[in-house]
Amino acid sequence: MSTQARPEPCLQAERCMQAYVDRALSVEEVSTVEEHLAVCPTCAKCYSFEAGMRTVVRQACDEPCPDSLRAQLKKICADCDCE
Amino acid sequence: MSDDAADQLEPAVDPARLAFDEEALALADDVWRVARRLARDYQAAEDLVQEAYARAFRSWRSYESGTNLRAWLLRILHNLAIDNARKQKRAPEQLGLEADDYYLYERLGGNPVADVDVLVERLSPGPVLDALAELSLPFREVVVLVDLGDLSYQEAADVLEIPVGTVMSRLHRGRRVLKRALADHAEQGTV
Ligand SMILES: [Zn+2]
Repeated sequence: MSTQARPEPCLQAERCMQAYVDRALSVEEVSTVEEHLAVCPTCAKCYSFEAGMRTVVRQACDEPCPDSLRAQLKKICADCDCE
Repeated sequence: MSDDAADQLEPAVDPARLAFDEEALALADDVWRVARRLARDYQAAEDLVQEAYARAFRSWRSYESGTNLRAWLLRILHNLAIDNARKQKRAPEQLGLEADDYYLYERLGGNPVADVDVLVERLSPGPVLDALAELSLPFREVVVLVDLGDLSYQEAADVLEIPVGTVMSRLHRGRRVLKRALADHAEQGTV
């Protein structure tokens, strides 16, 4: 796969993408990123794609604890004789 | 029944214990979601969650009230999952080759007019779950703890007993492998 060289601000944005999507950037870093996203449609799309990927993973895995297991856990809790 | 009679019938239950039980049980969905991705199948996930809760209830006093109980439970789950993985002696898995973050996006046709929502919609749950399952445990765990367990990088680092930088790099590579797998899937025309 060949990736065309991107301008430095875009490379910078790419480096911050994960932490941005995971909300692990400082307020200052967030505003730097968002300033770039506002003027760079390519990075903006990649960011929303990355966020979308996370949504896809969450949705694919969104499965509540089965009722039978929940009942079992309550039983384990009630039977636990520790203090 | 008067309070006096109740005292005689049953030993007083520590209110802190009751609060712990309630809070822990309320997190069953979160623990289950993570367990489902760590265990090899449904039954194994049920066993894992039961075992984790049994341990949690037994050692509830070692939980420091006011800290993140979800992270505490997931740590117990992680330790059990690691023990199980050791028993199974799974072969060390290969990580996919390096590709940059814009890779899947580009391969899925990331052109200026492509609609991101459409691209994301094309990724159906089945292939996503398969791709996650194929991820080797150290990488899958980080993705699962952060994405499904909603842990911060620091909390995930504490659970896994690895540095925060390692959490970030594993997360990065884990997601990259996921994207690559999904791109392969997309190219086979089934997405
Ligand atoms: Zn850019």
